[in-house]
Amino acid sequence: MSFDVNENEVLKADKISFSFGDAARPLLDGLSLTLNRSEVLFLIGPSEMGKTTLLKLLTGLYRPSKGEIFLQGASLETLSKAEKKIALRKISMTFQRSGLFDSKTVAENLLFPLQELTHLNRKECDLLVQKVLNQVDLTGTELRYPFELSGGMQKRLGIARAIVLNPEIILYDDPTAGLDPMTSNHILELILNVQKEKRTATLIATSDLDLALRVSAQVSSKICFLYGGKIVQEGSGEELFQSKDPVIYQFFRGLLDGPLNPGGGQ
Amino acid sequence: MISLHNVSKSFGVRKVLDDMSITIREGECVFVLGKSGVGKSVLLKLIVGLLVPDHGTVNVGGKKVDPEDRNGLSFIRRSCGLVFQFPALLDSVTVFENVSFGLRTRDLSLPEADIEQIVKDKIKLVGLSEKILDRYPGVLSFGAQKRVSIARTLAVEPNFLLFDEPTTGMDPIATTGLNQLIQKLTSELKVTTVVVSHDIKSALKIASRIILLDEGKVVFDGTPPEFRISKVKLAQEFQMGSQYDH
Repeated sequence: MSFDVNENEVLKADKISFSFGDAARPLLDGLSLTLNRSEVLFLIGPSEMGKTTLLKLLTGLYRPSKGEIFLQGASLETLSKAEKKIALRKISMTFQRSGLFDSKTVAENLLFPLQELTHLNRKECDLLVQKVLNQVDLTGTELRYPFELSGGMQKRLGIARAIVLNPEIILYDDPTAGLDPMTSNHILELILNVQKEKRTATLIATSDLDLALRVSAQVSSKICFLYGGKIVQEGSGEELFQSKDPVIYQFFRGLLDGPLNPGGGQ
Repeated sequence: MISLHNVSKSFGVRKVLDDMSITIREGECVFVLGKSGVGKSVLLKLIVGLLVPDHGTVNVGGKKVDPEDRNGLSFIRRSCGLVFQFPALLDSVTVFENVSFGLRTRDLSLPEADIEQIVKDKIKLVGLSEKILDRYPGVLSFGAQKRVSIARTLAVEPNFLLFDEPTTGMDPIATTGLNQLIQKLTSELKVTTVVVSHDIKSALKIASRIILLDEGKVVFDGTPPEFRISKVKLAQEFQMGSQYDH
């Protein structure tokens, strides 16, 4: 299946559905979302609504049961295995709990994707590792193991690993979860610096509503609200805050009364 | 009462707590705030005797936390209910078995009917339905799992409730719900609550007192209104870092 290629659209989910096992209702149900070139887009929504699942679908880690994912105009479904592997190198993803290799040092965590996925020689790899570590302010930690780093440093290492292959698109899964407000701001600053320098298309899924609102206002980016398997509204923070949708209204104000269950659903 | 008197704790060359003293009185809901890695979780582990201070003393409910005193430590651990950042439930058994686990291990002679009643009461207290008792943790949402872990802690009726980052990763509605639950437990059960957190908004809403740690020491100790107008730089940074004006 093909569609009219809009060169500005670098990553697109077109009416995708996805379920875990034989769940009665799909977690994602005909969801559409577009990430444009050099854009910063925030993805927010109540817990358990499929934010992480959506990121994993967009990076090809899961396959949608319906609909298609388009990467720079090409449907992932139509690509051969080899083509898909090459195409997906344009995307990097950072994980909520960093997803680092515990048994490898900081430098080895960065060398791994370079040695697996590029033809660079060791000297070139080492130079690149140094450059990226400097970019995320982790120079000097090369021989340390992830567990010897603070939470904020681990997040920075996760970002370093995401950018070491120079991707055109980066998806961040709750990059500030569990961090204090000041460290959260530093991480966001780093993400925005990477985006500015490389013009990377950036999708940030977050549970930190205040952060999404503040940063989206600062860089004039849009926020997508995921609920009930779909993106129910997309717009500026202010537009969403003024939304009359009862779910968005309840979520933005942290109210207990409304359609969403404060127990997080049972 | 919980008191830490001139407590120091280092890990290798890194001094996390430095001659720090804190007193938490009965019935208080105290939020301990601080940057990542400042030693907030270390504080909780010192209270329940999972860690031993290098210097200084820790007292809980009138007893000194002393790893050499097995009976004393057992008494302290019975009086403290620690709720972990991640729910830490047993995946292979039902919600009922998770909540009753502590009861069964602490009192082998407790009749099954009593166990059932306590579990039902605690599940209701944390705002969940009895319908989930025969489900497995894996099918519950993160928010519901967190509430089950609180019910498990409450089942053994602790005098002190200790929460480690209770709202991390929660959406705004689940956060409000959990904050209300913490308030309700503190007032209805007359327990003393200590919450270590980064969540300044929750602290300002529900804490009776806020303690701010920096570089191993207490740099602020006061009520939420006092925190709002504090001249302490870190207190101001915390408030600035989480602000968004609509």
